[in-house]
Amino acid sequence: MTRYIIRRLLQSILVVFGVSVLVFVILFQTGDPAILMASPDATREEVDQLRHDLGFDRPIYVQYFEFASKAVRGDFGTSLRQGQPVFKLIRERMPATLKLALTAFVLSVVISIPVGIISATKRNSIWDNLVMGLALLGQSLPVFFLGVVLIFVFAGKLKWLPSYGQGDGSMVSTIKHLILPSITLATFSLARSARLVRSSLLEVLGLDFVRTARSKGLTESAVTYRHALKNALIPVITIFGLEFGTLLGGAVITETVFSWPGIGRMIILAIQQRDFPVVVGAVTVVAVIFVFLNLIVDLLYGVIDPRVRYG
Amino acid sequence: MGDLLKPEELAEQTLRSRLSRRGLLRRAAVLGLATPVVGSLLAACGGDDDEEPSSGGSATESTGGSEATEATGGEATESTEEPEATESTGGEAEATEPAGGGEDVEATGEITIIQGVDANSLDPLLRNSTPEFNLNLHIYDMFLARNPETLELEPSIIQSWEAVDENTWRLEMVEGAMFHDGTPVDADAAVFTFERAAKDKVGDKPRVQSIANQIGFVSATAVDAKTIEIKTDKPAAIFPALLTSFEIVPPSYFSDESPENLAKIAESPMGSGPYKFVEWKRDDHFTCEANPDYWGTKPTIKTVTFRPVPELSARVVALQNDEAQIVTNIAPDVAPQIEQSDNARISTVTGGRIIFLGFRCDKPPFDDPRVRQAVNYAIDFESIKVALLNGNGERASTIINPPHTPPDAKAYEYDPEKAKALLAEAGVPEGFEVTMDAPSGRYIKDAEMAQAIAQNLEAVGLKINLKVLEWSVYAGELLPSGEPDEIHFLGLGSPFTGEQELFYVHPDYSLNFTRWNNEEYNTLYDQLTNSLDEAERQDLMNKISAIVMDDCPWAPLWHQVDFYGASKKIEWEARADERISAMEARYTS
Repeated sequence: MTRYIIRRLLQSILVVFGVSVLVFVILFQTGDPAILMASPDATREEVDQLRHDLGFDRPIYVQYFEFASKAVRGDFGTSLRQGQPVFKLIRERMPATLKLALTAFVLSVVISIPVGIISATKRNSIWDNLVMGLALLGQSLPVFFLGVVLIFVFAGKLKWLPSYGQGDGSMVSTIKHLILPSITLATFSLARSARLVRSSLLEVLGLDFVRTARSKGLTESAVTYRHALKNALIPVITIFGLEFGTLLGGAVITETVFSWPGIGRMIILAIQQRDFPVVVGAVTVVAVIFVFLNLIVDLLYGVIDPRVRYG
Repeated sequence: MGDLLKPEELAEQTLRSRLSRRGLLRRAAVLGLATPVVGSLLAACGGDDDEEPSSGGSATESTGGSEATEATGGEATESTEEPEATESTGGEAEATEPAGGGEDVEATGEITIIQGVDANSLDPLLRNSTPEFNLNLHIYDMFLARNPETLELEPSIIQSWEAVDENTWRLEMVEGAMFHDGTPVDADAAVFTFERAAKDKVGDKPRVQSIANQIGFVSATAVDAKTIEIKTDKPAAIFPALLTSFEIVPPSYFSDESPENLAKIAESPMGSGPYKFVEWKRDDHFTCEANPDYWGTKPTIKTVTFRPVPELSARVVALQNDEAQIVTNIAPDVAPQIEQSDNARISTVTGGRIIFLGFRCDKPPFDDPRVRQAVNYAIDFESIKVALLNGNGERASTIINPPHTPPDAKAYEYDPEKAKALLAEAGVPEGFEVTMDAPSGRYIKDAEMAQAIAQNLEAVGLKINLKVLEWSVYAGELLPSGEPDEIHFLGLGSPFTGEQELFYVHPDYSLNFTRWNNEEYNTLYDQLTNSLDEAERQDLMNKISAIVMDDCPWAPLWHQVDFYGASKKIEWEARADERISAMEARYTS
């Protein structure tokens, strides 16, 4: 087990290193920030000077090495545009992102599992068809479209909920502000998870041990919940683990549509403004979280499924 | 100057209460003192710069990109006013007026202003976008202000200004102004501010603000407690205009250049402005509160909150639900919906941003001016206006903004036959292939407009290979490469100085990719930058404009119309220079 963890940790470091190199290279392919940062009336000479002052005229490997050597010590540099340490900016944004991601995650888990179970146990019923139809819709609706529709209906027409931001910090205001973005964010993963729970459970329900359990005379609910579900949830947990990582780092569109001050929105703005240190720093942090969650999920396997052995 | 009105117009406006008595006196003074200039300007302006109460274009707004990049790519219109270099008298005439209204009404209520993106840094030397500038407008005083309606230069911290000689400006400061920490706004603070702006770096960061470069700053000296002298290495007629975008900063807060303090300055601004900083939570809100000790006209609205909301529909809903009272970047398509609502209305203004096609004059076929003219003649702007802009806007007749628009400026007419003839004369074969770059999602109907123009050009015999790129790629990759294709679509947020607008086709300008190099232009432009005489300057601008239109490194398209949403509860109108100040908003009920 320990050897496994160590091996996985080493792999994780490699993955994070790879991500940071990739982000660095891609960013450099898309142009340097000097011209975007210069004053609107800047002459060419001034822009060149700015580029030189910022160090963007140096070879990319030199710049990467400088970044990496600082990053391993927890210093992601300073934002070009905001003049603040990148780590501080990430830390400031993290709570908002966590709040939204956790809410969406809970919504997704709490809804998708029972819905998936009901769908599987009442296979081909009207209920099953309805739920799976909705799930398909949920998966195919583009997030920005869903977000805008929700804003239009619940904030615009009905005036029940606010259209943007995260409120004044009070409990009631926070909840009100969380509803629309978390539904928007949860919809896709909820739909996917519900479908997965359903298919996984159906698969398990057809296995030999379930037939054995039934032939022992167990009630259908005991068969489903005590025997089948446990096995059916193994792939679901993997998906949930990855999903949470995605929700954390990938709520880019939701955060933008709802003006939610999280990491995703920060990354998008930083990309648009070519604020390299922020992009590289934030993406690296998100990658670390993602890799870490993945590791946790893998370890959880062993807990849930005794057949899994780490070697 | 937009507000240089004829005497009878002034009287009429006063009767209609659009002008205060003080405003009347001030303008009359300027009129009287600057009469030689006025005639041509009046003819030039002709009221054309008034807002057009209409809409046009489409939703170019989607995510935070729009304004975020507005800050960038040389787009920000931190516009400045026309040079009043030789009109130092104008400054003095105004000097006798107290800038403050002196009415002691306690500020009450609150206002929320929504912009598309948040600020990055509020350090006056590091900010470079209009949204950032609008926050600073509340916390800091600019050295000079501008009239919201007319954009005329008005006293602020500087009460009068004059050019002592070609390379020296003398500025007289207001009495009694204090920074928010209680230290005085005096000559020492002004000198400190200029010297700070002249440094290449803020801490270890290259500064963005470039006033020192623009005027050729040499030194700032305190003559007495309220007077300073600025020495420049060249005549800088645009200096007073640049002062309208230049914040005076307290040495007590800004002297410490440690990284910690600079980071603090960037996010907790402190100046001498009408509002005091309260809180800034990035990408969420920026709040400031009325400064009861403000030296000038006291703010009437107590709390001002700026919120960044990138999504257009969320901005519109917030406005309609009265969660915000002023909202920027309304898509023209949405304007009718807002006009129909109970709470909100639209305020439009023809802005200072010119949209144009740039030609690569170093590449065939555009190395021949006849081909460039042909493109200008081939563009059917009237059809574009009807089909895409809901009837708004005019084909640009010059690249210079009001008030310096040359009196005889004339736009290219749509004349496809002439275009064909010119192409034939230049020996461009039928079906000659040309690549045209255009951004998508930056300017009103940018990609659509480019498509329409491509069709116009195909109709006169060119084969257009249209390359539409998303704005962040366009501004972040294509433009910095310095090698856009033969025709490239761009918009530049122009200041209002004439000189700066004309600089946009200068070989030294960073966003000029045309490689246009016209000896006559170069010579006249040098003369312009070296002249402080307003009449001579206008004459030079007229000549240069004629050269630019005739030898055409650009096909100027139109000056973009800006759309804002505002609550019906407030009096407030959009400004051509994109500034939004709570000081100019009043609750009507």
